Amino acid sequence: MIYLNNAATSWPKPACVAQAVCAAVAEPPGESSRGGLQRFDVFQAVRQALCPVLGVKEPEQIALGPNATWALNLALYGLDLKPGEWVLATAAEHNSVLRPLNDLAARLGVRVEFLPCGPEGRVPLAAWQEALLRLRPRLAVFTHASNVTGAAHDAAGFCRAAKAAGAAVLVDLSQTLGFLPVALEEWGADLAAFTGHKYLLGPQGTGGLWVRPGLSLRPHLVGGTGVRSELSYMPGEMPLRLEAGTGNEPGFAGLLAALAWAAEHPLDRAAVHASLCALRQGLRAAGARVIEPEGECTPVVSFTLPGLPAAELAYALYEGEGVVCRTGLHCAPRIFPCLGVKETVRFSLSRFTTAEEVLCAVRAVEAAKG
Amino acid sequence: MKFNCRKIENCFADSLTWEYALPQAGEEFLRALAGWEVRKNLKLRRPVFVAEKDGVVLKAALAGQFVRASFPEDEWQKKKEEFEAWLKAL
Repeated sequence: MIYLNNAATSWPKPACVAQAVCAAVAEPPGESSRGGLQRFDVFQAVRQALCPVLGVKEPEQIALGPNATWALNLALYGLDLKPGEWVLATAAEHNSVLRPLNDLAARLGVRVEFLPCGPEGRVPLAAWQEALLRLRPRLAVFTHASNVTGAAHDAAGFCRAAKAAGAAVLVDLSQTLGFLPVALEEWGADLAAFTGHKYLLGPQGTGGLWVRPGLSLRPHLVGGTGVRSELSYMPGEMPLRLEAGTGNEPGFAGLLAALAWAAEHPLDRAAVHASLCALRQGLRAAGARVIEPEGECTPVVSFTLPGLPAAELAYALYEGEGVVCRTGLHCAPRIFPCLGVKETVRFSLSRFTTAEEVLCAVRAVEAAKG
Repeated sequence: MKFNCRKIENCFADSLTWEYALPQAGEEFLRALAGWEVRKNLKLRRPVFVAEKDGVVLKAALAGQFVRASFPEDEWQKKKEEFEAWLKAL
């Protein structure tokens, strides 16, 4: 099998990740006693390990939960948007942003504008600035990089422009954290959602939301916190305020192991980029129409083969050659009119993808043509 | 012919695809597809075929026992029932 679906869930993981998950399941849970110095608190350790990766200082401002969708819902519903207020977003957003915004528009009368992308899947900074000044939105939300094309937005520029226009800014880091540099406090972001199971190399079921110090969200999910049980409502302090319910201790033990491993084994981004370039070139030579963003991007290649429907191509790749990839709309339907295609096949690499696997994937596409 | 079937979820718009587990390999099943437009791909390490008729699209590996059937959006229930009745009669 050749696994090229890392933008969905990265695989393989460092061996220590599975070992940490197994060990956490085998050990008595730590949920029953919180705080103090004697007991190891995996959640706080994860928050601390995430601070340098996110470019933030206060671990308590990171609420941990099951995934980026949870985090994005927390942010979008937690800001308590009012009828008539504008939200600015891009056409590159994932359904985890599109669907909550559509729901807020339909139920509450929040107004939403999705800025069209260029053919690489990126909104130009000038268009973003123009829309911010035109709409004066309460919230600006953008994906750091498109999950369809890999094209990264100028996150620092997007945040600066949003703040200058008086908007709160939410960054979706699902596709980038662990692969591209992130500096939330330097950028001036207010909120950022991330997931552990993609380029952070952690297990599924781990993610979180960073909230700028001083910004208070209404909890979207309320319930038990294991502490302050006498309160009728969610506690005010972070991260408890946003973390209702029992946490995924084994999952976060795995993420902690992945973060420690990544700190010891820094990513060679140039090497992954070289593999990406080889893949793009090979696919082009095989006759594919390849979407090739210039500038900063994640190791994602979306392509089509003229005359062969994406579903048929993907079936041939998986059943015929054992290449695991993603096809269709990739949960980001608004970007496709901007790209000028109905659907794509997507290959996504990781730091573990070998040159031989890239070569085999290109040969598989050649063979799939029949 | 006895079969099991389960819907396949994917990321295509309006996808109406089911996977069928058959008691025979794709190569043998292919012989029953008289009247279908069949495209074989023998260049793949594990050859596959695609067959189409009246908007129904089948995909299978020649050596495999699973067939994917996609039905047209506007009359998928009717087409699915017809396909399954045809399968049972094989």
